[in-house]
Amino acid sequence: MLAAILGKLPASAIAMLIIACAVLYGGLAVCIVLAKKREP
Amino acid sequence: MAEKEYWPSRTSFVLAAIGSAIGLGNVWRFPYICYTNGGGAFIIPYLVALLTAGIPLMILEMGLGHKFSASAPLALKRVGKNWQWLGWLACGVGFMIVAYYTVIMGWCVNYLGYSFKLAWGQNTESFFYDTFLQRSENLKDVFSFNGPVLLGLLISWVLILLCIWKGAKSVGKVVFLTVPLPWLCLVIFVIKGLTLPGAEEGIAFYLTPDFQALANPRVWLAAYGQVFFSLTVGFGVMIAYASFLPKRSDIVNNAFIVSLANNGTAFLGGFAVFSTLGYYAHQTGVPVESVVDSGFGLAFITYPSIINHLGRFAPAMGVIFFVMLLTLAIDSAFSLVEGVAAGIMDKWNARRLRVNFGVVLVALIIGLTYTTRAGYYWLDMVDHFMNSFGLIIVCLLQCIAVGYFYGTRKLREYVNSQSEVSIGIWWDLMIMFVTPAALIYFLKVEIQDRLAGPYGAPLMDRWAEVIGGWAVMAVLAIVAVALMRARGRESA
Repeated sequence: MLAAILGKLPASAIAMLIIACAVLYGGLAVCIVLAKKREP
Repeated sequence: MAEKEYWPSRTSFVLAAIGSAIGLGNVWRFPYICYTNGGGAFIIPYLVALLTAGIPLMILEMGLGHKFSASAPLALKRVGKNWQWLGWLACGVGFMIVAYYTVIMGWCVNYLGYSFKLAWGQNTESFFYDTFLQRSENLKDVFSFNGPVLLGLLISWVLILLCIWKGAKSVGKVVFLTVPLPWLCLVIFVIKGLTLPGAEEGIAFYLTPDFQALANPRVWLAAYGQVFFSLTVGFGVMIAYASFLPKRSDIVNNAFIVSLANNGTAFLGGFAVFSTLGYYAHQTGVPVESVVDSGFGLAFITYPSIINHLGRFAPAMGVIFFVMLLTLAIDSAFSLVEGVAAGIMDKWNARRLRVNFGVVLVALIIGLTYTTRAGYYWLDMVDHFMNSFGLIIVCLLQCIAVGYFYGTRKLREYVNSQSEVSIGIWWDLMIMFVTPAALIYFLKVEIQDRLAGPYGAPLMDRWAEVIGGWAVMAVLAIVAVALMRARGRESA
C-alpha cells in the first residue's frame, strides 16, 4: 500500500516528505526524549 | 482570596497546550493551504515560518506567563504599566473567537448525530446550507433562531464548563482524553484513507512540489499566516497556561514540543484529507482539484459526501470524523475561556466558579447571533477579522512590547535559567525583526485587500464589514483600555 503510494510520487515529493517528517516528528521525538531525561 | 492554581504534572501542561494549539484548522485549513501554495514545496516556507516566528512567539508567551506567574493582562502590565490593555485585547480576541467556535462545535454535535443514519443524504451542500443551517438570503435575518444549532451550542458550552470546572486541575485531567482521542481518530482516518483506491492520486496532489511557487511572496505569507493562526498564540492562552506551571519548568523544550506536535498533526491531517479526496475523485470520476476544499465546505459538505461512499463503514467513519472535530475543537475552546477567566481572576481576585459562569454566559449570548439564519455570514465575517487583524495586531504588539520596551535579553535570560536547552541571540533577532516583519507584511496585505473591496463581496457590503469587522475590533480595543483602567485587586 505504502509502496504503491510512494511509487506514484515524484522523487521531489518524497524528498519533501522526508524533510517534513525529519523536522516535525524527528524534532518532536528528540524534545520528548530530552523532557523524559529531565523528569523521568 | 483565590488560591493559586498549578498543573497536576508537566504532561498535563504539555497536553493542554497541545490541545489548545491543535484545532479545527489543522485538519481543515492546512491541507488546503499546502495544496494551493505549491504542494510539497510549501513544506519549506512552513518549516521556516515555524522556526522563525511560531516557536519564538510560543517561547515569548510561555516565558511571560511563567516569569510573571500571571495571565496575559497582568503579565503584560509587569512588562510595562501601559501594556496591560494589550493583554486584555488578546483575551478579547480569544473571547470573540470562542463565542463562534462553540457554534461550530454545535454544528459538529449535530452532525455527529446525523452520522448514525447518514441523514445528510446525497446532496450534502443543500443539506448543510438549506436544511441544517436554514441560511437566509441576506445578512439581516438575525432574529430567527435555528433550534438544532442553538441546542448544539448549549451542549458545547455545558461540555466546556465541565472541563474547566476546577481550572488547571480539571483541565489537566480532561486533556488526557481530549488530546489523544482526536489523534487516534486521525490515525484511523489516515490508515483507512491510504487503503482506499485512488488514495495515491490524492497524496500526489498534496505532496508534489511546485518549487516555482517559492518565488511568490504570497506563498510565504500563507505559510506565516498558517503558523500564526494554528498555534493559539496571541490570545493570552499560552501566557495563562504557563502561569500555572511551577517554578523550574522547562520553557524552551515545552514550547518546541507544543509547536512541533501542532504542526506535525496538521501535516498528518493532510494525509487523511487528501487520501480520502483521492478516493472520492476515483469513485465519482471527478478530478481531485475540483473536489478540494477547506473550512466548513470540507468538513460539512465534501466530507459527508466522501463518507457516503464508504459502504458499510460509512456511519462509523462519520462518527469518528465528527468525534475527531469535536475533540479537536473542545480543548481549543476551553483554553480560550481559560485565558479570559485567568485574566479576570488575576485582576479582581475573583472566585473561579463565578468567573467561569460569567464568561460562559456572555460568550453564549454573543454566540446566539451565529445561531440565527444569517448567523453563518456574521460568523464568517467575525472569524476573518479576529484572525486577520485581531490576532496579527496582538502578536505584533507583543513582539514590540518585549523586543523594544521590556528587552528580549531579560526574558531570554530568565527562560534559559529555567530550561534545559538554552536559546541564543537568534531568538532576540526573531522577536525584534523577523516575526514583526512577517506580521507587518501580513497586515499590509490584509489592509490592501480590505481597501480593494469589502470582505465577502458581493453578498456582504461595506456596512456589514463595518458592523461585523471594524466595529467589533474597535469595541474590543475600547473594552481593553477600560479594563486596564478599572480598579482591580491584583494579587501580589
